[in-house]
Amino acid sequence: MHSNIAFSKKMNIQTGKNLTRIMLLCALILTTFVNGWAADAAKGKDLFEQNCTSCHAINEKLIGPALAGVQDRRQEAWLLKWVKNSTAMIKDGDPTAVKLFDENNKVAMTSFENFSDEDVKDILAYIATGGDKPAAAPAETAGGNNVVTTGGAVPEEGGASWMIVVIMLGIFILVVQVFNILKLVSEYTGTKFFNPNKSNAILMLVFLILGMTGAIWEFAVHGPLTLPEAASEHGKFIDKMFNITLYMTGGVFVITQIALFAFAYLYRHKEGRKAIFYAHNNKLEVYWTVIPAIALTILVLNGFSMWTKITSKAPEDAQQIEVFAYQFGWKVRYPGADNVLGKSNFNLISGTNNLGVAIRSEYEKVRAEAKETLDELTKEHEFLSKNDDPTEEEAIAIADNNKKLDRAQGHYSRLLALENNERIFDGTGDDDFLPTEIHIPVDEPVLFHFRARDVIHSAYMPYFRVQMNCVPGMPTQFWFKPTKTTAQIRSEKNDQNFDYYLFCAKICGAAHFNMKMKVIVESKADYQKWLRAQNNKVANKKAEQEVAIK
Amino acid sequence: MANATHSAELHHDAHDHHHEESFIRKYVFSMDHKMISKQFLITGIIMGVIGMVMSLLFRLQLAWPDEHFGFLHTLLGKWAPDGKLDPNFYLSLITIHGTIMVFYVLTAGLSGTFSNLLIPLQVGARDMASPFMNMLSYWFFFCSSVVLLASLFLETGPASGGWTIYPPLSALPEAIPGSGAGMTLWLVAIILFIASSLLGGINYISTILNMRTKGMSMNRMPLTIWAFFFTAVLGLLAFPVLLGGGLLLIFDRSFGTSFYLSDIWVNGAGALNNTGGSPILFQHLFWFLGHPEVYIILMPALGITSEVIATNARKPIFGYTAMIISLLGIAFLSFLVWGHHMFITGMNPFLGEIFMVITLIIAVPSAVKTFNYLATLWKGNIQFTPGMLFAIGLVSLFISGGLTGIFLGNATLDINLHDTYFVVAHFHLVMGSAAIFGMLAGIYHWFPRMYGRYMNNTLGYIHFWLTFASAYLVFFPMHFMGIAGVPRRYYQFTVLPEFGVWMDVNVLITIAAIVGGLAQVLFLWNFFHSIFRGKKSPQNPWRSNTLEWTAPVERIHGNWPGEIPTVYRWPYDYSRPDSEEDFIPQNVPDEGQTVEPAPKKAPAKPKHEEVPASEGEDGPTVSFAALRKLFGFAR
Amino acid sequence: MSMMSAAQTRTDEKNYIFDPKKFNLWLAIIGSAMLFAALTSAYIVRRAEGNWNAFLIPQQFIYSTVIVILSSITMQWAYFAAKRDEIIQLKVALFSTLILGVGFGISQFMGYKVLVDNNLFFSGDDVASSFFYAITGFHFLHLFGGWIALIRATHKAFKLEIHKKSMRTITMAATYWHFMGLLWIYLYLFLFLNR
Repeated sequence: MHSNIAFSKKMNIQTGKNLTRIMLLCALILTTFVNGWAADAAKGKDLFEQNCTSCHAINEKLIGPALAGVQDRRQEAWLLKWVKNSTAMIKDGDPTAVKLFDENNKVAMTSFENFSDEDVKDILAYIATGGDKPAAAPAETAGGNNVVTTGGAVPEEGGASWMIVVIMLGIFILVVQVFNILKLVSEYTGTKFFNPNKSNAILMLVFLILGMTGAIWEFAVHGPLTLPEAASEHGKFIDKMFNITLYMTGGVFVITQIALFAFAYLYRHKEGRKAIFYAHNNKLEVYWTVIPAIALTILVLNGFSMWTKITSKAPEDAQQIEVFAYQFGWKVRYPGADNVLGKSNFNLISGTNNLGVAIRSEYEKVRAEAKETLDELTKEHEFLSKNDDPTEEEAIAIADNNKKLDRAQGHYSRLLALENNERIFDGTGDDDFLPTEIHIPVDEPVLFHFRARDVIHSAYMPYFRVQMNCVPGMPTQFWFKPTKTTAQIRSEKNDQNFDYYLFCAKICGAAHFNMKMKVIVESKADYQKWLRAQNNKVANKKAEQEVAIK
Repeated sequence: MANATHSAELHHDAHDHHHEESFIRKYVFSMDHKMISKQFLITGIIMGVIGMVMSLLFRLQLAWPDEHFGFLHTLLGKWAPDGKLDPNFYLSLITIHGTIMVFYVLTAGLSGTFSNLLIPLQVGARDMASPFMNMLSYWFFFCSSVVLLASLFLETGPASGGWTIYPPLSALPEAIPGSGAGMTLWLVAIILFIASSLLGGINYISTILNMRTKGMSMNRMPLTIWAFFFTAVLGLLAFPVLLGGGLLLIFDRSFGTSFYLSDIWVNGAGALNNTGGSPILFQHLFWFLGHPEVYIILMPALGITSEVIATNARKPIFGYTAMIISLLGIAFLSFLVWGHHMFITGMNPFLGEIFMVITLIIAVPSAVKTFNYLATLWKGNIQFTPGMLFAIGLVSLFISGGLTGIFLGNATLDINLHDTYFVVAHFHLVMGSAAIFGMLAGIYHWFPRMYGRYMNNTLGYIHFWLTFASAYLVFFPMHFMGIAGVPRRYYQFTVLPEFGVWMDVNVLITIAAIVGGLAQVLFLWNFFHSIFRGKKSPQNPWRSNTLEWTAPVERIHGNWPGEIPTVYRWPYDYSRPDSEEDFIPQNVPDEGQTVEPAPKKAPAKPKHEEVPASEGEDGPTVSFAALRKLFGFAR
Repeated sequence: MSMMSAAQTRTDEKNYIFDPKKFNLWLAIIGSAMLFAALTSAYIVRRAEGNWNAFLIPQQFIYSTVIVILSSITMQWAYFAAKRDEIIQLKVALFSTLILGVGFGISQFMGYKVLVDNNLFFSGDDVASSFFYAITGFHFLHLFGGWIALIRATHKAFKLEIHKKSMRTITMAATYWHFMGLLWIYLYLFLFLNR
């Protein structure tokens, strides 16, 4: 009896332990489940807007397919792989991957190797929410169609547009027929219904009046829709220069157009009229050569002095920022606590080092990856070259492999050559950070360094009157001083949702129209605060990594 | 293409049993400059229609980006799935539209047509210096057009890097699908085109310099010839540079060289092996042609305008010498300004300054020309033929477009305007409107010379007013879009909320463009219908002074049946006070003497009998002597 | 041209300042020169940017230069012979020029072989090397035109169609041939001095 009690007590404890274990296990599973459920859609929205919107919309096809319901179409595991490195999946021959590639003009989707699984799941969660409802029409829009990027109204069939076309055609045919009728009538009655010469002369006058009215209307209505006063120091001078040019050319425009149409009307052929035989007047020629020359000289000298100032060397204390353009987006790099931008090299570009910054640890990583790729391709090459009599398809595969092998060999040898390059691996890049938006302090000089990864892009910030091409292999730069903070321009435009943006102004591929990055101009104090926070983040991360290594 | 029109020519020439030329020799591989000019014209018009249709397609996308047009999917298949243009194909459309319009319509269609038609006739030559080269010139152009149009049917699509095809975008198929086979075909087409232009240009220069008739000194040449002359010189010097640039691009694309490519990591291929190249080098080579190219386009239009305005205002062109000097100034300076397309590339600022200065200087001769046109109209006696309307329209558009060039030529202003709609507005006003108007003025004006018939005037008037209004409605608002910072070559305006305000404007522009397009349908009908059924015109319907009107309309090899007319005066003796008639053709001797008015009907076809030469006088034309005999004009 | 008599054609031609076909050739030469101007300017601009491989030009290209000069001499000899109606000399001179022309081609290929043996290729990222091949290569392509003109002239000479009164073909062939020679000398000196 004693042992029974002891046994059952033991059993009870054991059962208890097991039960606890089971419960804990369930709790764990449940938590994971709950975690999965509560994948952060809000975080996903940010990631989506920063990385995906240049090529994807949720509810319609943009460059890439519409993403609504993508989790129903594809398994999550597949999606995780695809988003991180679609090119590898295509290379491996995954059938769905290859199919998608073919269907989308054989243009590869950007790889996002620095995304964690969580990141991708967050994005998927955001997509599942259906995205933002179409934004309420901003104050300026007069009921036009606009923002489509984050989902939009279900597209309608083009009912209204067809109506317009039909009506226009109708009017058109009507006009032609009226003319035909008039012609027939005049032939029939023998009278000239209208004198075409006089009619055309009158139309000249009418056109002049309508045209001038139109031009004035344009300036009055569309003029205010253009940019407000420049938000930078040099921009103010550019605006002044623009206005001077506008007045000069505007004056010439009015005078010459009036002269043209008035002469056309006044000197129309009339019965008995003879033109004067006035073939030249050298004095007049001199006048209207010299006067435009003087006017243009004024413009040139102004432009000249302005241009020298704008393209002058940046002040020593200018904030250095690198803007990196790629298909299809922007990455921005700040120099970090040492205030020196690290060197970079395109061979170092990888999934975790998008800008190819010269950092030792990244170098080791990319070199290992390159070796792996090279080995794989070499093995494939050996295998393929055994084939003495390839079919057409096989020949294409061989040629393809040769090309890839050639690139891989070049890449790897260039990487090897960089190994002992002390000039670039000087440690200045270790503290650089890549925020998702550009922050700049007001009333302080900023020097942007521009680079491009693949094709020529152009960094355009019209509110600051800044534009500079980003050319692969040829760094460019532009410096300026912003004069209006984001808060100030918001109140000036009476639009609390307004933001400065940087966008692309040189044709660069399918999503050329959709590459943008926010620019925030803030007070020096706010800017310093932000900088400190970023630098701290970098320092913390570094500390974490050092701990992890230990 | 040549056959459709030319089979109708058979009607005309059925009586022409003077020499047996096979159909192929006469209409297809013709070496007669007049036939070649018609071949250029018709091919140019067809290419123009294709280019215009493309523009309407992408304007549909811009105005109604949310619409799904069923017919688009039917027309374009995979390039418009669900009835909305594919973004890659959108870029292809703008690329091919630009290429067709700049090269095929405004260079070949304008220069090719009118230089070929007018140079031998206006300088008094039988044909071009080398009729064989002339024929080659057309057939290279034709083959070039076929190759370019073939690229539309490629699986990866036609070239899509913009008509300016900057590398690396145009060199890397991974960067955009159109830079695969489509770009290769584009390059082949452009090489054929350059060959065509050079062959033609060489002929034009040689004929003008060497084959002028007796009495036709350089300063008695009509301004059209001066314009064509400078144009041909520009082409000869500038096109080979594009050839060089294009060849280097071919090498980079297909032979692994690195002239333009360096430090590239592209999606889908990773790090490329090219180092040491410079994309900006391409831009230098391209724009060294590219800038003279726009004057190659504009100068013939200006020359045609001078001629058409003088003839129809019944007044000499004001400042003949000044016009020549300004043409020369524009031609010369055009070689020195190419960098103004590259202000924002990060080039040496000093270079930028030089280019800015010279660019603004080039505005001066353009201004001089404008004032001279205005002075020509002053106190004239203006006949509003459709040609005249288009010539006046050209002056208006040239003023508008030229003035906006002053903004862009200023490097500081270009910072905010480069690659925006402001640029699009500028070049469409000067090229897409003014130069086209020159071409249309020329077509209306010389149609009787080409086909012996008038085009319908009423249709011409309607065509003009609709096109003129449409041109301004389409391109004027674009200036404001550009000033607001809206970049060009954008598939849709969704990147920023503030671009939304321009959506209504886009709709307006597209509708105006559609109306403009419909007006061209009127023109096409008028043109082709009048070839067969137009009202027959007399030999000199506009009562013009230049020599082309002294040759009979029936197509004769060698232009004049007898001897070539001798020239005694400049081409602008209109409304001379000492003359009863308000025009004195160039081949009328003895300045100051009045001339019998031209007969109402076309003169009788000159017979073959020997016409006795007048005593002691150097060769007046056979036809003129016959005329004088006919009307008993005493000498 | 059946409507005009031969006499009329000749009268028309009296008005010509230069022979139009010869003039056409001069214009084509100008065009071709512009192509080489473009390539050599691009060369200078790129070289100024640095990272440039200044390699020695193989000796074979000196041979090319010598051959080219010799062939211009024989070409000019042919021209003078034609002018003096010395048909046998003409044939010999033309034939020699043709042989020398082929010799030029051979020396070029030998030169390219030396370059390849020294790892200087057309493709790849040695821009200096690419330019060298491109520039000399285009000259070589133009040379094909020269060969055609020469062959045509030789053929005509054998048919006795070239003589004092019929100089156009040989004049044009000589002009083009001298242009090719002068162009080569310019290009060689350019590449040599601007290594």
